[in-house]
Amino acid sequence: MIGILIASVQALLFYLLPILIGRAVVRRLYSNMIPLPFITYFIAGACTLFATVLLARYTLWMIWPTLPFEAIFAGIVTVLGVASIPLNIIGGFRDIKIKPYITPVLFSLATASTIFSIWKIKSPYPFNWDMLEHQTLVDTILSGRFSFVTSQVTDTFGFNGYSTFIHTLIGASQWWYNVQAFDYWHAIGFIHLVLVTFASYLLAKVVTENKAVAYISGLLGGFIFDSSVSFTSLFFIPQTFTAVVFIFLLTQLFAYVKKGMIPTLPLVAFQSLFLFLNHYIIGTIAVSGYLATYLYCRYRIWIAQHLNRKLLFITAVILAIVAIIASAYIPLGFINSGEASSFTPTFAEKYRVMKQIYGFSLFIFFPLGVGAILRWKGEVEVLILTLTLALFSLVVLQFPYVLKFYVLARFFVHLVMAIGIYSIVRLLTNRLQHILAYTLIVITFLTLFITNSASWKEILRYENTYSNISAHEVSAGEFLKERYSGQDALIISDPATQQILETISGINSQGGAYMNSASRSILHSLTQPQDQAEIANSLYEINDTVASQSGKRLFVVSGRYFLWQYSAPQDKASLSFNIWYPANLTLEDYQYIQFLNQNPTHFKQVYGNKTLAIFEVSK
Amino acid sequence: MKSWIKHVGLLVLLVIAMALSVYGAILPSNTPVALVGAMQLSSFESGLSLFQDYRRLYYSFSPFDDYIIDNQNNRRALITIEEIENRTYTSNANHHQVQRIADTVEMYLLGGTPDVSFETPSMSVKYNSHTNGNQAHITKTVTLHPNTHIQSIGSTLSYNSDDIVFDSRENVYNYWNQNDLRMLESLSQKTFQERINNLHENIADGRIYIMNPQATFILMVKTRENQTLSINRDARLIEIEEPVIKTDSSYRSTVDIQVFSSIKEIL
Repeated sequence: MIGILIASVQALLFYLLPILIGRAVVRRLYSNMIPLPFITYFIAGACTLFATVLLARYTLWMIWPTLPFEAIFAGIVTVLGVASIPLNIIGGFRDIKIKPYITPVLFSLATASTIFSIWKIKSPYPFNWDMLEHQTLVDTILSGRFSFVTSQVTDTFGFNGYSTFIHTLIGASQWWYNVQAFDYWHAIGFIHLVLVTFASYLLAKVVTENKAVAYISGLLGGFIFDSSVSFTSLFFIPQTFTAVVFIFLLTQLFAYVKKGMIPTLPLVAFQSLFLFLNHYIIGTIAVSGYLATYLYCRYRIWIAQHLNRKLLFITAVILAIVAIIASAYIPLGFINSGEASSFTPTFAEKYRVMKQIYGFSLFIFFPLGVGAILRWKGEVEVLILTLTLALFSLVVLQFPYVLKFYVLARFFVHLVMAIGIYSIVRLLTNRLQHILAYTLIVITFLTLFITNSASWKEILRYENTYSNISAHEVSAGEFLKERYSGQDALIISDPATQQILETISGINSQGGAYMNSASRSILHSLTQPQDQAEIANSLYEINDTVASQSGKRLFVVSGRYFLWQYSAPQDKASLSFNIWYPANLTLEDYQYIQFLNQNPTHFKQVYGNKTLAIFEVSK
Repeated sequence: MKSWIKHVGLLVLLVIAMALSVYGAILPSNTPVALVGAMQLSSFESGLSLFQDYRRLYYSFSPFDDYIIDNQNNRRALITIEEIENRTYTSNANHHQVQRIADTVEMYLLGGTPDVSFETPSMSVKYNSHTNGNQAHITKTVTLHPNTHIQSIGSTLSYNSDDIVFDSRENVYNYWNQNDLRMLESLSQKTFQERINNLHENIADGRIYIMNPQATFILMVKTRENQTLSINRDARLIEIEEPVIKTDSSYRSTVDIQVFSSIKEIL
């Protein structure tokens, strides 16, 4: 219980610490009132923290590499955090307006609590698989190895999709207490869900100035789980974090416009940089949308006078349709060594994904919303519709990885759906009818959330739970941590087992779930008949590519390992293929373990449970 | 009045739109499913089955195998081969979408209680389940034509040819590979006596275990009072037979199953 409380405090600090630092900095530099200032404070504080750590890494530490970087890191966080407290108090709290947000925040908390408690049924561990690699990176930073580039910190990151920005913030919130990772990621996952709900509400409120639409949009934001590729509401990862920040920035921009103001270009550029650094691909799309909207807002009078906006809109729609049709004939599956073809769903597959997430609600209420916006002709609403259609078109394109962009598109899609739902509800005048209508909306989307969750978790059933990690694997990880912490050791197993054990134990592996092709080939070769000495020698050919390992190899033969070995060679070679569910050892698996045990010179079993056995390997 | 009709109409429209929204949901392939330790229980066209999906192993309670013994000592399956071939039986295994949605929600929030029923011109049978942790209780209720008189009712559980079937008295009744049997002996620290000569063998222990070398569960079937346990090697069935007690023109029988996830749990 204490652990969960501390983890919750740490998760809150992820947001509060940058806000405190940022508020102290922004109010010194910027005397004008900023609408929705908390987002600017957060970005400013986060950038201050990250920039300071980068400066220390690439100047101070370069000059004195013997300095313990973990101590420098802790010092920076403490000094900035502590110094910001009096600076926050001086100057008062005129910029903090709580009253308008009390009800929406309570609504977001209630919605998120409902969804989170349903999501957590029979599920003791977070489903956010990516948290394992992110926590590994954070732990590596906290143990003294830091770089701007993720692949230079740990070889779990072969592709640099973002900087270590978010990991620095996580490290800043975690460094002061060594808490169980799962508790932290549960807590931050819940806070993230609250923010997704709140962001959905706030965007709709500022755009439509209609509370009913805002609450429906917030409800959809929390209740709808995009359970394929994007995972916006329930997985706290760089792409979903970037998306939420983008929505708050866009909301701030509209808030500026509603007050008859416009943010300065340097502020917009600075905030855009934050988006980009947190996810290069999603950030680029987000920045494009943010800048396009900013430029439109800044020059809309000129645009209204010199351009036919209706024609522009129609042209954009036609171009989007042409692009979608043409994309089916442009082959891009060769990208990323051919792996891209596995991430290029067809129209039929995307339709199925949307049906799993929405049932038929998207196909009913989205068109209604589009029709309502075109009828009402509100300028901001039409702008939102344009953004929605642009982002949604990106998702529909027959290109690889495009489903990722739904992490941005979904907020706008839900706003349009909320308008569509409201276009019916607003015609009811009786209070009782309104209560019935909103009750129906809640029941419908709650049911869709449950059916979606049940389908998604179907393959993750394990011993009366839904989980992609077992308690036995956690125990094994804790054993490794206790026995080998601080030693030069390398875990070797199938990618999924490596990923799990590396995070829990802090003991290194070659690439975690992103084991490179050389290591995969070596593991695959173990399926050929060979004696224990040959197996042991092969295992010593596997090496970490960032921090080379000369120490002992810890060979983990788990139920997952055997299932992975039985899989087709092309699956074993693929980064996207893993044994996602826990698997106990079978009788046949025990025969292999017994075979290894027959040669204690090369294989000394140090741990075993019904899920796995761990061997110290000697050459 | 006109306004009232308009508002009711709008509400009805909203109800239809929301109902259609939910109707389009994509559901898990097996619904409902109960989690029973390392296995799952669900209804299929052939009956209720315990299974481990990713290992493709199924253990079924089926009216195609379950049987009755009449007063002349004749044994017949609840649904005969002729009835299967001529398709003169009906089953409710394939639920419609609305029922499946309700089952999915119930299963997710409260745990599933799979059931299935079959009907022929001469009988109807319903299989209900009740699960608790790693235990499952399968209750079969058979209603026969009033002119049919029986002395006992048999429930069956199918097993696979490469399963190891053994009892707690260290008798093994089925296995495929000697190495698997030796491994089991090594893990359990026991030496098994082979009882594999007879096609049909009574199991005095009242308790039988089934495991597969490629799976991670051990099924235990345990008899209740008045139930006798046997293995039918010809049909690859575990048979649980009991004399009938008629209640309200129906006969009821319950089979108790427990699922373990390691050999150490049953030692």
